[in-house]
Amino acid sequence: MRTLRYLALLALVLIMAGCGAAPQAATTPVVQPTTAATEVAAATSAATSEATVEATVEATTEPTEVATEPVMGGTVTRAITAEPTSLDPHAAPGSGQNIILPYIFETLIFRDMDNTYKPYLAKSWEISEDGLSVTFVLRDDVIFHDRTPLNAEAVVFTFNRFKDAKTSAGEGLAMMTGVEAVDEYTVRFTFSAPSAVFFSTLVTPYASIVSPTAVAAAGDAFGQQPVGTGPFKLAEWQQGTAVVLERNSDYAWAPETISNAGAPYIDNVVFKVIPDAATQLAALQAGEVDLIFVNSPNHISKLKEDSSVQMIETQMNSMIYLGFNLAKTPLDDVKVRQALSHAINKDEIQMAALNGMGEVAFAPMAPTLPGFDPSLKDLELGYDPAKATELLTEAGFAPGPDGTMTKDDQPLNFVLLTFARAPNEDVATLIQNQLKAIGVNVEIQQFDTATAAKAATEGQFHLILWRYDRNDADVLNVNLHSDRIGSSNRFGYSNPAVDALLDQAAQELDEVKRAALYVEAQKLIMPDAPWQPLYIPVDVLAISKRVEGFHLASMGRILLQDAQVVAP
Amino acid sequence: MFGYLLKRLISAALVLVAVSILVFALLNVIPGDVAQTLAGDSASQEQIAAKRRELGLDRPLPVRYLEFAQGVVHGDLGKSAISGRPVSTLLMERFGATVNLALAALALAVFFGLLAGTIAALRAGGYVDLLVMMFTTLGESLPSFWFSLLLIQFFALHLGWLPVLGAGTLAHLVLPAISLALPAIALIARMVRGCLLDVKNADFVRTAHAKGLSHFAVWREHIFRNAILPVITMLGLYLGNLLGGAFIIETIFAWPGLGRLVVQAIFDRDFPVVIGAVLLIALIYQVLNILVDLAHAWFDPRVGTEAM
Repeated sequence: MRTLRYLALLALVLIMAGCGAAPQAATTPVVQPTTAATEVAAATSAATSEATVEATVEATTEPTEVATEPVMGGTVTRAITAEPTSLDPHAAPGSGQNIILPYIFETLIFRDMDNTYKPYLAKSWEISEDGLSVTFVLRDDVIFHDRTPLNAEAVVFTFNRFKDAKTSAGEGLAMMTGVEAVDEYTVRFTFSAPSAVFFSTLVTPYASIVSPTAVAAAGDAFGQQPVGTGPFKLAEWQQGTAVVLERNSDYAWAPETISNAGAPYIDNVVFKVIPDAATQLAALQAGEVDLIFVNSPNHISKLKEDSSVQMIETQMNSMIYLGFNLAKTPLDDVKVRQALSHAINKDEIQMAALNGMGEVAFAPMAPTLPGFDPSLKDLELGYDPAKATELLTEAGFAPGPDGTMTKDDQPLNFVLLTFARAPNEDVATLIQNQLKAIGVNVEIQQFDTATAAKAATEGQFHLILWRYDRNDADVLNVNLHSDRIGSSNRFGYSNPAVDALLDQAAQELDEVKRAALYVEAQKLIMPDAPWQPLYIPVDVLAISKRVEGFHLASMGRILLQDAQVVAP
Repeated sequence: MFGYLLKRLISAALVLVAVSILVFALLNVIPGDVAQTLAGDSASQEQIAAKRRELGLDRPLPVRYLEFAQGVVHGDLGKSAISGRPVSTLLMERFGATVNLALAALALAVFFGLLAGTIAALRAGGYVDLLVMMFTTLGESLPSFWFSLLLIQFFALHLGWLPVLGAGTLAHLVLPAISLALPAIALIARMVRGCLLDVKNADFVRTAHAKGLSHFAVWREHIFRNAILPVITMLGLYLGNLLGGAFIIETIFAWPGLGRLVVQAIFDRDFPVVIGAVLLIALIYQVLNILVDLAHAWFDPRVGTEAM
């Protein structure tokens, strides 16, 4: 709560400081593009470029060739809010870590912006008829930073280590029964049942291939001395300050979406640990960092006036929702849940949370995930306070003496649980007001993440303002399958027909058929109202114009193999 | 003197034991633990319980405390539950930056605080005095994070003289040290002025003047020496405060100090790191307290170490 108050104050301070500050043009580097031919390209699909409202980059499906000689050397500096505790891909997932891992490590396959899987360290792969085994053929020209060759043995070692680590990131390997080397460059995975989530697990940084010799040499310290096959390698870790990566000059195996198959043009990527958002902004404007993510509306409008910075709106596979605890009466009554859903004015929330940026959510699946379908909008329990009151009356509630809806002398008093992260407090307060309007009292309980997670797992709430970040459509299995009641299904939601569809989708390896199954599941879920989708959070990437040629990839990654530093 | 020091050291050790027991118990009362953090957002209660067993968190509190205490006696503070790195290494990595910043802020505070306070006392009631008093009111009431952001805006962005953030060179030290020192400068100036004025009107000062001592000698030997004692006590506490980590300033300037490490560890429920850091901070306070008492004895011979 205290930190939250400080953050709110900081935001206020920034507005005040902004009023008094003179123009920053004097100190921020002025960008002079070296040649007109050096075009910035962003590998984005049509779907995401629609969402890229403020994009000033030329969004194309294929990166533009750099016609002239690339500018060699230079450093790109990115601000990170939290320092990673470990750079071992198989350590417990944490923030900071998953940003840095993809530069040092690589995965067997990657996911393109259109949600299709593409070759990476694996040249090709084959799924058996029954879906119970998947065979990958590896590239034969890849070496780790310690010059150990990448081969089947390294992949087998990696996946056994990943599975044994039993981290939450490794859940997608649950169906995997074994992994074996068929020959020097062929690996076969076997499964007890076909597993769609296996592929989306492979593209996460946690499934990065590690050097077996480096792991053996470093032991527990591998997290401080990571060795992968990526375009950059760890040069120095200044604890508490920065993680410095340097160019891997051996690199020659970039995927097709990158123009430069060889070593990166830039010398270094530096990740500076800057916990405070206002300082990140100042550092960008002073030229001390090149790349930050902003989400405060004030910071965004401030940066829009800065001609040396370009801004790109990016969407993560995330959603903010209001969940209901079905284990608590009267929330076990679907009419009550529908009534509460109808009482929520999402436009007002979007205005408060995102200042009108981004978009309102209507279906359980985020728009960037497979299984999202615009036609589901018809099933949305939209804002309709009259309908809400009507549904509550049907459920047997009537206004009590103080106006609170009451049934059998039990007034509707709910606890709303959420975690401390802007703008949750504002959103929770809005929900409180909106529900008050239909005669429902809400008490907001906001805690730090660890405390809130414990309360959520133990079901100590009626309403929960929560968020999911997941790169696969199986987010519905994780949150709404009845097998997960008591863990990630915090709502106690159970519908056998939904369970059957989710089970089927989990084993469907054809992406199109799988997406269709998820659409069917959502058609059943939405009238049940286990949660009300609120909005899709947006992060705005602000990057100095001295950096050109970076690529935006799925899951918010920024690839720098083609990047050049065009101004000092 | 020696007996006194021994007594003080024994009591300091007892305080540390008490602090460690208290913190150990407190940390186990707050909801959420590192098993939850490690097991992840979608973990079931069984998975969390398994993780807790793996980490040994399911054993009774006294057993865990005794194990921890045994380690401490052997100079081992244990390992971070999150990163697996030794707590002593984590603390030492950060302590250097904290000491640098604390000493720089202390130096600024002592120099400017004494200067401003003395000038104000010498010119009590005049315009200079009024000006200093206005400054101290402002310095004490400005929120440090707000003042820090103003400093960044002006000196780093507008003038471009100093870096926005980070550590390493002297230039990096300037802004955070000023931000940290500002309230202390104000406080010290106010205190020095008050104490000097109090002592100035004391009987022994009149006697000293009557003896025919020069104005300067009276101030140096009689007034200043007596007025400085409460200031030293305050400085000891202030330095302890600084060395315990200045979380807000460290966060704003991305300074790699102890404060940020501890607050992050609290959020992660990384108890070994929290306990190690609290013990370190408690130790610093104990040492500073002893030093302050010794300084008292040095400045004021009447404060005999035997009597204390």
